[in-house]
Amino acid sequence: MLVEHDDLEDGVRMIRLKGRLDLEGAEAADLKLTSLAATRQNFVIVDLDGVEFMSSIGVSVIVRVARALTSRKGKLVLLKPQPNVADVLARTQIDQLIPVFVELGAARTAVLAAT
Amino acid sequence: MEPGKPHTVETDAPRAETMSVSCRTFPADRTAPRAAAAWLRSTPTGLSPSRLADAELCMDELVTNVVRHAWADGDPGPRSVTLRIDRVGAEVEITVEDAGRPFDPTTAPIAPIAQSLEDALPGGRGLLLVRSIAPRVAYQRSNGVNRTTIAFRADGSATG
Repeated sequence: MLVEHDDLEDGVRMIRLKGRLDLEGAEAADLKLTSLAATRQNFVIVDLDGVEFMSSIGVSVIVRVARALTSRKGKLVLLKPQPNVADVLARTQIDQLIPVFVELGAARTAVLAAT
Repeated sequence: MEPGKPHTVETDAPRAETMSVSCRTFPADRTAPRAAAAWLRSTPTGLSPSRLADAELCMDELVTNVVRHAWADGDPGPRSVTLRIDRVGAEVEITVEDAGRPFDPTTAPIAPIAQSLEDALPGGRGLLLVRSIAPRVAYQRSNGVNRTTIAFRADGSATG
C-alpha cells in the first residue's frame, strides 16, 4: 500500500492511497496515514482512486483517522472510490459518516466548510 | 432464498453433485488474506467478474477473522487456514477451515451501525459485509475444526 501526499494551497492535505487496503495494506498504511493526518493540516482529502480493494480492516483505518481529525476540529472526506470500494463504504454505511466525492473541487469545498 | 440470510447446512439434506475445484492451506498470518485472494483469482471457478469480486471480499473477511481472532496469544500451533473451492450444482462454494476457537459467523453479533463518527467503532464490520453480500453462508464445527462456507451462483445470476 503506497501512501503519498500533497499539501494544497488552501491548507488542505491530499493523501493518495494506492494498492489493496486489506489486512496487509491496512497495517502498512495505518501508521503513515495517521501521522500524515496528525500534523497541523486538519483538513484532509483521502484519494481512493488508486485503491483497488478495501475490506473492513481498511474501513477501520479510515474511521480511526477521521475520528482523530474530528476530535481536533478537523475534517476528512473521501475522493473517487472505485465502484467496489464505494460499495463497501455504502454497505458499512460509512459513507453516511464520512463524505464521499467523485470530484476534487467539491471535495475541497466540503472539507473546508464549517461543520 | 433471501440474500445474506444465514442458514446452517443440513448435513443429511440431499446435495447436488459436488466437484472439488481446488484446495490450499495458508499460514494464518497477515499475508493469508492477500495470498488467498490471489489464489482465488487464479482458480477457474466459473464465477462472473462481479460475483468473483463479491467472493473475494467475503473470503478476505473470513480469512482475516481467522488470522486475527481464531487463536489467543499463547495458544499452541500450528496456525493455518485451509480454503476449498467446490462446484456444487450451479453454485461455487468457498469453505474456510481453521482449528482455532469455536466461532460461528452466521450467528455472531454484528456491530451496530453508528449514527455518528464519534460513535463509530473501529471494527466489527467484516461479518456485516459477509452476511450482506454472500447469498448463502453456512457454518459447521466438527472435530475441533470451524468450517464456514459461502456460496455464489456460478452463472452470475442472483439466487432466488
